[in-house]
Amino acid sequence: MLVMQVIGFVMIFCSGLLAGERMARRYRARYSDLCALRHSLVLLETYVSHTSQPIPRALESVGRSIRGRTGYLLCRLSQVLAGDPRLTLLQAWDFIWTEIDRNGDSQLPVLSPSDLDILGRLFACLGGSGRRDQISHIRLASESLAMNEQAARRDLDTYPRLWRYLGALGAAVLGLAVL
Amino acid sequence: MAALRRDGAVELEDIHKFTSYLPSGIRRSLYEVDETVLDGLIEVRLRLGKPVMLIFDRGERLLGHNGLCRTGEVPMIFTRAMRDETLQLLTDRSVYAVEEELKSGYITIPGGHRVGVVGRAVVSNGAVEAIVDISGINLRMARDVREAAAEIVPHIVGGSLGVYRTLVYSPPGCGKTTLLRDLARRLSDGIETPRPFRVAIVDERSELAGCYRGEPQRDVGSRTDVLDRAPKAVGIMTVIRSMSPEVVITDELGRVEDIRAVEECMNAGVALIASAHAGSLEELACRPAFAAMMSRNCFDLYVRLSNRPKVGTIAEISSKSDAANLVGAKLTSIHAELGDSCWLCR
Repeated sequence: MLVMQVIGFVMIFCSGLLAGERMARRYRARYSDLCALRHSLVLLETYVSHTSQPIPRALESVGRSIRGRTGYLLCRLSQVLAGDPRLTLLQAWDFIWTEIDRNGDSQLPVLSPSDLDILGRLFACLGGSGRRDQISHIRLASESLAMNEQAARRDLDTYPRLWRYLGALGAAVLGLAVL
Repeated sequence: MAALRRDGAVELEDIHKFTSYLPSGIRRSLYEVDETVLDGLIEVRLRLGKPVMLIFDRGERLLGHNGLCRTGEVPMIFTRAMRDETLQLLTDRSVYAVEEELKSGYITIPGGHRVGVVGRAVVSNGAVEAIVDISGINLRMARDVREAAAEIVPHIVGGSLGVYRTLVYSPPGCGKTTLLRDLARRLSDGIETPRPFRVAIVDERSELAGCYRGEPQRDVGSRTDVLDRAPKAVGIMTVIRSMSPEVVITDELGRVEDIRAVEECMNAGVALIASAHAGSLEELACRPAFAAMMSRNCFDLYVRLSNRPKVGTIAEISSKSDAANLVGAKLTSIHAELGDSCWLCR
């Protein structure tokens, strides 16, 4: 009986640790995804300012060179646009996130509502005006993401440790209560 | 006299592809329009804050919210949101990529359809730098009329070059461009000609071949090379040097600088087939560039088109001697007027 109780306690404790670690990882992932997004916007700006590649092809090229979760997101966006020429960029962007809400997709970057809002505003006007105007929009989005990135960096110093402790302590308390 | 047969019926699939460039609201309403009616669609005119207008071969109609506008029904109004959506769809969501083309007031989309735009022109040093705040969009459906040049081919095939140097002229809307396009295809593929010819098209306004990103969207024949968006004077000389064509086809000659290019063609043993705006040979002779070309026998044949009884009717074919006789008197007066600065004497 005691052996079973100990095994149960260990399992609860491990689950708590894993849950805490999982939350901590999300902070790390968001920070690195924001870095990659800013990098991809720099590349996108280069494509827009120096080539005449249409947005879907530029997104695909940037996505392939960035790789990772952000690269996957941009390639997915490009695929959706290529699949239906009647979709605008914003419609394709909304389509992807609706699809994620419905089916889930762990390969996509970890973004907060504030990050999504910045990207949504960018995609609402991306491709809709002249070169100079487009560069302004991309830079504005990049600056806004930089601010979020700084905030994500601060969060990264504080919250992952907090979540790990919370996971371990919470699990220990729950385990003891069960015992 | 022969009329162009307008049997260039468009596949319904092509119409659906064409309408896919329209915003979703307009598209939905167009799905309600009867297919036989839609088959005659020529243009869609979109003006900001104004009803959506459809131009059919039998006249114009306003678009309602569920198909064509009926009496008493409120027509669909073209809004700013629709404008933005249209621009995104027309430019593959990349207006910046066609910024240069937009300066000229039109773009060509896949399928060879031409889209004219107007708005606020940003002018610098007398040239249009950009067109912004676009307020009007005109989508013109491109159609191949495959029999358009059937009647003219026997007249222009022959001579030492195999094809006579020909100028097709008429007022606007008589089918010159359509005829030239079909002519290019026939000469290139050897349809009703003794042999196929190497054809080059100098397409300054992307109307003849309807190029999209350099690729001809209209059928202009398998031995046809297209130089897209090049000014005629430069383009004609470029294709002669680079592609060694037997026939050069171009649309709407008329500037003084075109004379040298036409002469270059003549001296290079290349047959030039071109078009021009003019109601008669007399009107043509009144234009300095054509007066010079006519006096120098740059063309063997002058073909006048008419839109009566049908678009593309061949109304008159004149020889180079007719043109030279006509232009003689005009040239004397031009020379007297210009004196030493007369470009005809250079």
